[in-house]
Amino acid sequence: MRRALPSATWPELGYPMLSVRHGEPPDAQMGRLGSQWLQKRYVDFLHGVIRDEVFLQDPEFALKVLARLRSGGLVQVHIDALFSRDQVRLQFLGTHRRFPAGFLRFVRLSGCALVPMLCLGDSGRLAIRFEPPLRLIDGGSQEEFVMRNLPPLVGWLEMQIREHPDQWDAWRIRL
Amino acid sequence: MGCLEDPPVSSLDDVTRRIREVLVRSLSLDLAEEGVRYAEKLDELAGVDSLAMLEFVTALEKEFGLTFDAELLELETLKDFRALAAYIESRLAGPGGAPDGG
Repeated sequence: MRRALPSATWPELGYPMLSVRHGEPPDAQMGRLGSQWLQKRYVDFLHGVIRDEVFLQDPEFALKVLARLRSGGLVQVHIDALFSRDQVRLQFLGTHRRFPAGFLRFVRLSGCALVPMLCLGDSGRLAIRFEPPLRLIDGGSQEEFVMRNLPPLVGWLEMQIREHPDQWDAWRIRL
Repeated sequence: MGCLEDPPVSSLDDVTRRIREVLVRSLSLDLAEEGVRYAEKLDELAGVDSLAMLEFVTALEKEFGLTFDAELLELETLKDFRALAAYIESRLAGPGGAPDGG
């Protein structure tokens, strides 16, 4: 089921959200395109409504994320190979791109659900949509888990871009 | 009257031994390595790869059939070897101390 939620209600839903961020220096890469671009506005919006955050450089990063999940919270992660030491190259929109694999290691170990978030917007409005949880294929080694589950997720990303090509352009082109 | 069986290992001793075994497996330590300092190894583990800490924690939970309380999921708490062993021992021995999930 797809349900649109105004951002202000997130903390009131009883699912406190934790944002995983990169901090060298704070989010130097994320939102790097400038405020005229959808990506920057999306990042500013998201970090504005998420009250809590943890940085990848924190030695307790994984423990804090696990604790938040176990206390009924949500954890928001940007899938960006720039932030990952653990990368996999996959076919993407007719070419090859690097994708991070570390978050899937976390999913496998913690047993948490993986819920895609889709950002849609234009010059006057921004919305974030939660999709149904992805069906994960369990079993096998850590590497097998990544190789079984990352391609379907990348396929889902491709599908979203094909369904909303204007949004893909807005990500990279000035609004 | 004498007893032919080995003396019973105390529950805490058994927990301690098993934590060390899980640590060795998680870090792929050389079993022959002398003087492995538990707290230092956890610091090293967390500093190199935070997800490896998660592997250690989930391996411990699997070993003992428990799900740790969220309050335990802090590096300083996990580094206290005696406190961690006592926590696990008390969870195993406490009311409803049967391992989670059977």
